[in-house]
Amino acid sequence: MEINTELDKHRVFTQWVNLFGDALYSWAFHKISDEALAQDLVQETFVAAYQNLANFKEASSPKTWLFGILKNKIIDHYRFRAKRQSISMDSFDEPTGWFDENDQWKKENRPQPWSTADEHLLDNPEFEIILGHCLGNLPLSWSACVQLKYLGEKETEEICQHLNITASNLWQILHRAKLHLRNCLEKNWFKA
Amino acid sequence: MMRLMNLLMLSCRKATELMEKKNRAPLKALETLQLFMHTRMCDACTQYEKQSHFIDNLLKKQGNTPDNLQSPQKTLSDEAKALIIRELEKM
Repeated sequence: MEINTELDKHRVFTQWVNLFGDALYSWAFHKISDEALAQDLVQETFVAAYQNLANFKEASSPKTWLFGILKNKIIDHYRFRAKRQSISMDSFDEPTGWFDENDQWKKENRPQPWSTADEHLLDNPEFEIILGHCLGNLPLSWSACVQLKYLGEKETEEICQHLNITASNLWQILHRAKLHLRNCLEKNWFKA
Repeated sequence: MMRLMNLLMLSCRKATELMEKKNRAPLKALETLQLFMHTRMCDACTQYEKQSHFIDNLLKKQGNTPDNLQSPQKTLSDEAKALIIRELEKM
């Protein structure tokens, strides 16, 4: 692919928007669960790519390159969110309390076996919606930490450490988030 | 004997916490033993551990950039695409 003139550049980008726009948008939506925001991030991705075309090595595929840019945009979004939202976790956790006064599972919260749990569930659009809904139910700062961790962002620990006084470690935040996610998936999917 | 039992007994809260901690760093020998004893006896926490791994795998898989994304499940509207192209033309 030769890109010598501005005209070439426009032609190539128009092609990329048409070829990869849907895939980028789908993925952004999975990660963000917000259509308008996902659309904005895809647009920002193309703008950044356009400005930094010099960084694009012909060796990598344009799709991989664009996904890399989008991934960084999503990480930035969650990083900003995690820093801005340092709400108290306790107010969210305790009213529903998963455990009784002896720290054993309350009867109504005991995990039940999930018979249909396999990874192909991610290909099921209805399950995607439930998963998005459950992630969306978490306090913003928690879901930001969960997303950053699973996007493989190395500084997650640092970003999330100071969110709260009682749960100062990432694994404690993830533990609480996991309790909520697990319960939400069980109620809305596996036992629905 | 009672004291030994108390030392080895974990609550479900603590057991599920240790499962998450284990993902981050190796547990101490005592913690490993405590967790083993607890999950042997507690069905609910055994389920929890399985489901916790399952959720980890789901989110990890979802976090990968989908180079081989089968078919995009959502589509960007034609207007949205046109908007992006117009935006690029301004540059």
